[in-house]
Amino acid sequence: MTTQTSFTLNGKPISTKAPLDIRLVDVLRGEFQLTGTKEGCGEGECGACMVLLNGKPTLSCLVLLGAAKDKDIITIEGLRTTPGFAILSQAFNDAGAVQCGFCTPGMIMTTYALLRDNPTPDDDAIRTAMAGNLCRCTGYTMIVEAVLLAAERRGETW
Amino acid sequence: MPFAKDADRADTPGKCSGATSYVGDLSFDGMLEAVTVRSTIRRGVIQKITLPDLPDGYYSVDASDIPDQNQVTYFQDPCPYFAESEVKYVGQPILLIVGPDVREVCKIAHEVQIQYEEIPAIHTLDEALEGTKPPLHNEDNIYFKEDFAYGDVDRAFSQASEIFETETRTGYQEHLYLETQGVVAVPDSDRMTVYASTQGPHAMRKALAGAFGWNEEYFQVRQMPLGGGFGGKIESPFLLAGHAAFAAYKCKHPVRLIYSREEDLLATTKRHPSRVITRSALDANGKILAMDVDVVFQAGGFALSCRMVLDTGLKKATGVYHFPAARVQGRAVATNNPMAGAYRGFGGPQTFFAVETHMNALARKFNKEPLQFKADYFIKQGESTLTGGKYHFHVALPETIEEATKLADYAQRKKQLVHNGQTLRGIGQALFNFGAPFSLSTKHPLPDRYMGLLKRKDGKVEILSELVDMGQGLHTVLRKITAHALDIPMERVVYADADTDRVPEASITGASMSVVLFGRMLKDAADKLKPRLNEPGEFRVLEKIRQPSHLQWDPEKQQGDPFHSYVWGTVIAEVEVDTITLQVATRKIWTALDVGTAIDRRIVKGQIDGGIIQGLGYSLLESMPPDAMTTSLADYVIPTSLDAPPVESALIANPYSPGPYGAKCVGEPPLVGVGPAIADAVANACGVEIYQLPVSPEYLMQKMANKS
Repeated sequence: MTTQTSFTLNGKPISTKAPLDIRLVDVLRGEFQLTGTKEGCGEGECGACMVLLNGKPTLSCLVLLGAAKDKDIITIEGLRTTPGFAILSQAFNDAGAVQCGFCTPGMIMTTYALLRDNPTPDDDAIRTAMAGNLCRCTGYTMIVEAVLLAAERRGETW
Repeated sequence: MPFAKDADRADTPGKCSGATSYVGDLSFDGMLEAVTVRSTIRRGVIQKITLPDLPDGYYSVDASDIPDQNQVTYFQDPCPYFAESEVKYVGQPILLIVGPDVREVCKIAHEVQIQYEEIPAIHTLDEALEGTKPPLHNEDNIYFKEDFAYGDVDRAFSQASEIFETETRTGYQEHLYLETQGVVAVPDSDRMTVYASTQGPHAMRKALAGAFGWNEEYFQVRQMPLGGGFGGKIESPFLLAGHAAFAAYKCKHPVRLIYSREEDLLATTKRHPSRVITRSALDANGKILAMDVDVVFQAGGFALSCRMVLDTGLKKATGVYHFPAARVQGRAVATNNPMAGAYRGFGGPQTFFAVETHMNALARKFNKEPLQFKADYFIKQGESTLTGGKYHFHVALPETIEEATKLADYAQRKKQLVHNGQTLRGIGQALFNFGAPFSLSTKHPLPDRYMGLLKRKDGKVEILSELVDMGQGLHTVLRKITAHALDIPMERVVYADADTDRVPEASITGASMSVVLFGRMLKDAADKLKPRLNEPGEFRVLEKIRQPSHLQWDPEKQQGDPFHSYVWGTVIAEVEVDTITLQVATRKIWTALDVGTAIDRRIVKGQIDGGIIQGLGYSLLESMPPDAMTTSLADYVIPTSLDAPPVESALIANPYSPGPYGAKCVGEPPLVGVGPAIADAVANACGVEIYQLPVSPEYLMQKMANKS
């Protein structure tokens, strides 16, 4: 017996016949070829696979497909078409917050949600919000600066 | 100021939007997935391998499928692709299971049964030296040993009124690039294309050719964007490339081999653990007459690059000092522990921890301010190196000390109270230099290797180079140098990821040599291209790689200038130690660094910040007992944004004339001084000497218990 799982992916209703016990990250990357969502650890420690699930930053390696049923999921591919993304991307560029880039899509997903919920975060609030997104290249300071820059520039964009 | 404006990196937009494809994002028609079956024991002989029945379309691949040699021929010492009889570490590859569905492949791989006859394993560096277990390599377990000396060390020690000795130890450090190791091999009718996350595309092509017994031209290695390297994507990728290519050759399908984080932690190379015994001979006034340093690096079951890592570590082992006499000897020993290899700093973090910790402990013993105590021995321009070469250029160490102490308000902070409620506060410092690139023989010509420029029909200039941007910003910096030399906008200079069909062999990217050495070749190529820039059509200008003219190095005698140039630096750290949990929190780190000329200050800052926080992880958090049990990020803890303090840095301009526009290097230097600076800060806070990295709460607890 095959099961259909339906959910909203980057604004479009979709359905898949993939097994319910497969991880969401595998469905996104495999079946839907949304490879902007990265897998860095597969155990919820690194944040590279961050997506928004009903608006909440969520590690897609810890979500089984069954738990995504009827949910609204946004990946970096969904975010990148929004005006907010342009501001985030420019801020990450200007602050020098991107080196190898493997953590960056996840960082941007987290930043988007942080600034939506807390438009004027201070250094501590940013570091706390980003603590689930590991970066091995930058030492984080330039990422914190990128988030501050994006906060300054975003206005009412999102 | 020619380089005052920071350049936008061409790779940033695609990395932000997720459009950049890393090797794990590639997919090909008919692609199969491979999973490695590994040794589950530390040492033994394989008795029997039992495979489950393989469904149609599933394969096993082992040493018998290698067309020619089961050896990574790029290494000087033996290292097989697959174990055939003896296994030497947990995680050593034995075979692959390959098939279309990765979940099924994993299931089959778990069902493979391997019986071993175990051999007593060598668990520690001390066991390797003691010789109580059957030796792993020769009779003495020593892969490589080497020594350097000048002056009459024995006489100084015999005349000393006191001998001061320290023993320092450091543990493993895993690179923890966020992108795990990965390769995709795609067979064609008469060729093979290998897409890889590697720091050495041409080296990988050579290794593949060696294993297959084919000409190099039969392989095309395409380097994909790297999700971090730090030295970890030099050695391990040879194995992955071989494995994927053997499987692709056997199955006649593209094969993707991507490590899980668990495998990556278990089976890839790490920084060599070390034990260093440093002795100084002191006269009646406490002056150092001579220093004697005994270095042991713990390698794994195969030597890999331990010769080079130990060698460069030894050449740095007397730090920023010139003593009246010095001897440095080192050994790299074989153990049945996780494999060690190249890692940012390349032997330097271990030996700088030893020498700076020794000097700081001596200063405390004599109750002297360490920066003053150490100044008596600073290297000066024109003095000789450990290897009888010369410090040819201005030594900017004093300027870095002045700038860093000013930034940190060091003198004032040092006077502040140590006790503050439940915490102990302390400030510490370390001094370092970083020699790079390491010298190759100046008596014999270098093999033909090139940096090149292609003037294209569309008017753009393409950099033809295999040097890899693994996140450090190298492509941007080399584009900036080229554009500046040609006096054209940077947008007209392009630089694609390496493809061995298109770009000449230059070097593995590492050892902080890309800008200072190869950047200069590129500038020279650009100078030659400039008068021809408006010529029609497409043409190349290639510049042969050569070493600077001031260099003298005799590799047989190991005498002369060991490195081309030296970066000088000072790092200061302030810590707070919780008196109940004995956890150390770093409040702030300040550093001043002489990188020659900074080609791009934002990229340089990225290297400094990132190197320092990687050094902080090495100093306080990152721990891997050699029991192969540390296989998750919950066990191997790297700094998060909450562990990373702000880093304030300053650059000292000290242009190095052979470098491009005076540039030296910056990739590795920021990391090497962090360990001893944090250890010094903890020592000052707690009133105990710190002789081990990482400074774990358990270690500190023992130290504090012994103190009271």
